[in-house]
Amino acid sequence: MVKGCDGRALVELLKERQVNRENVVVVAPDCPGILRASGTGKGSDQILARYCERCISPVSPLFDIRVTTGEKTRVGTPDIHGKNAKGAPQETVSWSEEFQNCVKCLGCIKACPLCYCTECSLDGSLPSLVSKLRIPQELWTFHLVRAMHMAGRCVDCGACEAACPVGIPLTELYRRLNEEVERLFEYVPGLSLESKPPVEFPRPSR
Amino acid sequence: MRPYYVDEQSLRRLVDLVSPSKSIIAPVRHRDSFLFRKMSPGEEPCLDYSNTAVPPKFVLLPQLEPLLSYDIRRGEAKSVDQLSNDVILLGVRPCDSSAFVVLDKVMSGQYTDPYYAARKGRTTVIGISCSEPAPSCFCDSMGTGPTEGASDDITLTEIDGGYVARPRTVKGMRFIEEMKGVFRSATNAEVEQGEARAKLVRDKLRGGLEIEGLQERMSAAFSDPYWQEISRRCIECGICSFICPTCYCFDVAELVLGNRGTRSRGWDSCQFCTFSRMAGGLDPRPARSDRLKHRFYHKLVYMPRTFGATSCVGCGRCATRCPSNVDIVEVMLRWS
Repeated sequence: MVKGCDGRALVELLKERQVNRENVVVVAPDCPGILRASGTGKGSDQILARYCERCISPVSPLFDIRVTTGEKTRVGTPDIHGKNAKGAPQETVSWSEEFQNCVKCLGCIKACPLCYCTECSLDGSLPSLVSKLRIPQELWTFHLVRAMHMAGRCVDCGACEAACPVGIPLTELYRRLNEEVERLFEYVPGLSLESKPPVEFPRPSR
Repeated sequence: MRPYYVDEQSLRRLVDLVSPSKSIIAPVRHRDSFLFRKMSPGEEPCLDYSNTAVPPKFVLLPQLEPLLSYDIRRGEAKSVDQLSNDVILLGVRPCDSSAFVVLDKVMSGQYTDPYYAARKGRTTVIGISCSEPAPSCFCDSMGTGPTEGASDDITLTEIDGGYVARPRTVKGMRFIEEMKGVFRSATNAEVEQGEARAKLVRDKLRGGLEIEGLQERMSAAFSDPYWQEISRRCIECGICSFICPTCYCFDVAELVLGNRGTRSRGWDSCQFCTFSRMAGGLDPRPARSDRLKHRFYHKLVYMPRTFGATSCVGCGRCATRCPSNVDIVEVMLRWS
């Protein structure tokens, strides 16, 4: 049973030969989005997560069984060039400040549906690009190496951001890299099994 | 010691009122949550908060602590200067304050850690009673709150327009004396209002957890399939450890640039698969279920056995922030 973004992740995992299609039966319900607390303590409220507001695929693009209530889904049908994809407001983020809050719990990595390496270059198990400890000077390396690995692969499910205990707006970062990949390679991750991932088949658009 | 009163405005402006040789660490709002930060001049703390995302344990146990520095070519090594200024840790919730007692038992019991002891000696904890416990709070069941923290040097209780400040240690009394212009003796009416508020919040939290006998029952359940079952959800991140006010495990690393290097220690998590792996590849906790089980046994069985106190203070952070809903309360209820 997959949400739209989980289904997109499954598409990418199939392309990266991490899942055997024959071993899974995919059930795709309508996804109304995920609610997140808008604050803590007094007056906290539940609001739709930012990454769900700009969702381009509320139903999994890949399924064996489609489950629907018959009601119109919140965002509508996949519309990658529509307002949901392009019109979503970009937040101004001071990344130095955000990264300074990072406690390096590896929650973003472990929660990500597309992180599957058994030996991760960022978790401090040798050989590693960064120390296991939280060295302030290494936080940019940590986050940018991860971001480069997400470029053209991130399905904007928001699992990293939801996991982050200090609220680093990680999807904002990966989303911008995805936009660059789309501009250069005309590739949007997770929407079809046929389109070739740019990491495997580099094809600059011009 | 007799109670004092401090008005809200003065407390907010405390950073501008204390001597510049002291730094103030207090909660501030950050996005949808709160974090403890060092206050800059003019900055106001946010004392109307339920719980911070990361506990203030980093004040006594920094996430990265340089221990010694060395020069390989010269063959010299020297210990890194320890922090020299006093720290006022303002606005600590009872659970987090009580967590320092657990850290004390580990870091300054039979064997004293000089780094921890130095920080502890220079830190004054100004605790604050809870007024609105979060739905995830269970400090009352753990005996760590909600009205006063066990490591408070001063405990503040909110009343109309200000706070009743109760000094609890000599260090707390000394701070109040230093800040004579800010604190004044509380009137009987103010003290009574503070007590009424404290009673109100105690009534809000009704302990639903029975931890009596938990240690024995868990000891007998070490091989229960429950641990495998619950760990199927775990994604093996370190969120629970890093946001826990009592988790203290650390790793030591050498950071070398050219001929110079630093040996530092920093937070580690028993949930990482590298944590207990030894040279040669042997790992006493090879499976994910071994590691998750260890977290609960350490807090609820080994700590009571070794130090006579559970090391869960009921702040609820791990239960609310776990990406896969592993809930320590669920575990306690299962074995209570």
